[in-house]
Amino acid sequence: MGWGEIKAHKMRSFLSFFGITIGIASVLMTIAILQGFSKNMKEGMALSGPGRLEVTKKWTETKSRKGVSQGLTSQDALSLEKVMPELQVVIPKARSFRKNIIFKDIRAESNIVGVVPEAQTRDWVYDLRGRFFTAGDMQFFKRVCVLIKKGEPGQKNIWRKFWKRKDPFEQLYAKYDPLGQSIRIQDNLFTIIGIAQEPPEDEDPRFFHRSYGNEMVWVPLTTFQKYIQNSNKIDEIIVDTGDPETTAYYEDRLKRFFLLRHRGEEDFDIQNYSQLMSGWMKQVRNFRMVFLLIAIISLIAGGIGIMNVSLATVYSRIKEIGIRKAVGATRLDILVQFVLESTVLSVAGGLVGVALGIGGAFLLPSFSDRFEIVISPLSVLLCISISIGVGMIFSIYPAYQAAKLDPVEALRYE
Amino acid sequence: MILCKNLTKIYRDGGSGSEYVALDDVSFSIEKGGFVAVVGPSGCGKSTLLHILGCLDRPTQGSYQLSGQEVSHLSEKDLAQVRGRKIGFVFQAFHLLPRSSALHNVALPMIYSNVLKSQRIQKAQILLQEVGLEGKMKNTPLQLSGGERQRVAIARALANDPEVLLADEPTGNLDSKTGQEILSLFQKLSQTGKTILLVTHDREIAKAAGGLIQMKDGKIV
Ligand SMILES: Nc1ncnc2c1ncn2[C@@H]1O[C@H](COP(=O)(O)OP(=O)(O)O)[C@@H](O)[C@H]1O
Ligand SMILES: [Mg+2]
Repeated sequence: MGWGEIKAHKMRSFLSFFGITIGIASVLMTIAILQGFSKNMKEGMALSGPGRLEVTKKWTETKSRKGVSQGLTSQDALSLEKVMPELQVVIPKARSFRKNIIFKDIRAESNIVGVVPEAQTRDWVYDLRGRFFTAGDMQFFKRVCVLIKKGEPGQKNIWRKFWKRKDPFEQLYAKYDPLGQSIRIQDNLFTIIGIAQEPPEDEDPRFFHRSYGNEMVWVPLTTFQKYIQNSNKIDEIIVDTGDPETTAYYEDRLKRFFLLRHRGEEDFDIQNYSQLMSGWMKQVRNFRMVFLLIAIISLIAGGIGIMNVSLATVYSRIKEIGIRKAVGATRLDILVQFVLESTVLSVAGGLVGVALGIGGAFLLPSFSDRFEIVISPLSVLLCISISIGVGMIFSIYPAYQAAKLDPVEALRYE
Repeated sequence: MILCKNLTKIYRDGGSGSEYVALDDVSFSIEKGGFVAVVGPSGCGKSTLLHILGCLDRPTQGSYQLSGQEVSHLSEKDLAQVRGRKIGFVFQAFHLLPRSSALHNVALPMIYSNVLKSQRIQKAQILLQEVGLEGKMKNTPLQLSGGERQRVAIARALANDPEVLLADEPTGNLDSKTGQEILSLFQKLSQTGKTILLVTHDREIAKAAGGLIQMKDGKIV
């Protein structure tokens, strides 16, 4: 396709170029987003535990309860460990909300979470200064606590510049180094034994379980139950079977186990993360279908445009085709020449599409904390092959029209 | 070199179904190295004959042997190759690529006979020198006079060292002086052993040529 024809048919050339560009850009972005999403999800899953199940208490109104169950308790967790010793972890957690906290002259409010030492083995993204809880802390109801320090807002996320999450202890950290000091939670004094620094928001590898709330203080579960909650209730139990394949089986077993212990009252929910993940992946695939549909439509539109421009080119170059044939060009020579020329236009559109796709994909993460995109050389290669393919397929018909021209008639054509 | 037997070309009008006999049972032969002029009134079938001899067209009937090879039954592809390698064609209207340089125009046939690029350029330069255009190789046809354009076309016809040169009124678009120069170029080429068939209205040239084919109404008379 001569430069002359591209100029002579500016609109048509531009539209076909544009169609290819949009098509290729959406193909590339689809792949980039999907690869990034599944990478994040897999990393998050690895961090959470491959066979993760969560048993949480159901937030139902007291009226609808039969009142025969005590709800989730520490005893449930202990018994579960005994009945199913093959589970990799059983981590109970308890929470209480908006407790008053006083450190020297600073007052704040925070949720308090009671955790066990094993909590360090799942979803652990922190940089810990000091130490975490031990079995001894648990056994002797030690009044010790670990403060969580919020991660910096991400550089990439443009929204965070306008809306920053506040760390309730911001002033505290600005003024003091609290490690080793005492802090008052409600009516009790606790010793701060560790400070867990969260990673910057845009580097936080957690896919599930990111604490967006103001969960700033951890204490040993036993201490929590004795001094803060005054009961042995817990809010959730995290379980890891160690294998995503076995989660469905254990989901069933856990349900029967807890129903039995709660005297038939289903006052708990069980979340199966590998099932959740496959559900999400299904949605992601639907999303991909939409993108690919856009891609296919614009590639076809671009292809038809290329066919159009190529046909116009053939008509404007009949004489040239006659000359080439007269000096020995075969049909195949002419066919190849026109297909190649059209493919150049298509590939040019494709390359711009690749650039656009990469640009777009790099812009997207700036709308969320951690939304990774992966552009592999393979996907770029795929896009270039697609644009080559589209250029070739849609120029074969015009090129064939050129190739089969009769040399004498073509030479006579003015 | 060229042996034609009972060549007939009939044009059929697809719409009305009417037929026109442009060549009517033409037989003749030309020796290797022969220089033959084809003369006759306009519309008598000279171009039709040359197109068939140049493998640009096929006869409706009859046989055409080029250096012993029957070409009227060849496939499209083989015909294109014979056209490119064994025959050099010079047209009245030059038929050069308007946007390409003289050099590229002369090199064009060698693209299709698979000559390497460096050799193509080298050969084209030599040919352009031979036709006296060493100073104008980079010019496009629009930057050349009619006589110079026809020299480029002749150089192009010689690109693949064809045995046969076919020229259809090569001086038809030129004034008599430049026409004369072009014709003497053909005479010079004839002396190098090329077999030449030339359509002309010029009585002098017709006389100077070794042979004469006089045509009327699609027949040799
Ligand atoms: N493609 C064609 N279809 C129908 N008639 C044709 C075609 N080409 C040539 N003719 C006719 O064949 C006759 C011979 O044409 P041509 O060989 O060009 O004559 P010349 O070159 O001697 O002037 C003319 O009458 C012309 O009208
Ligand atoms: Mg003629």
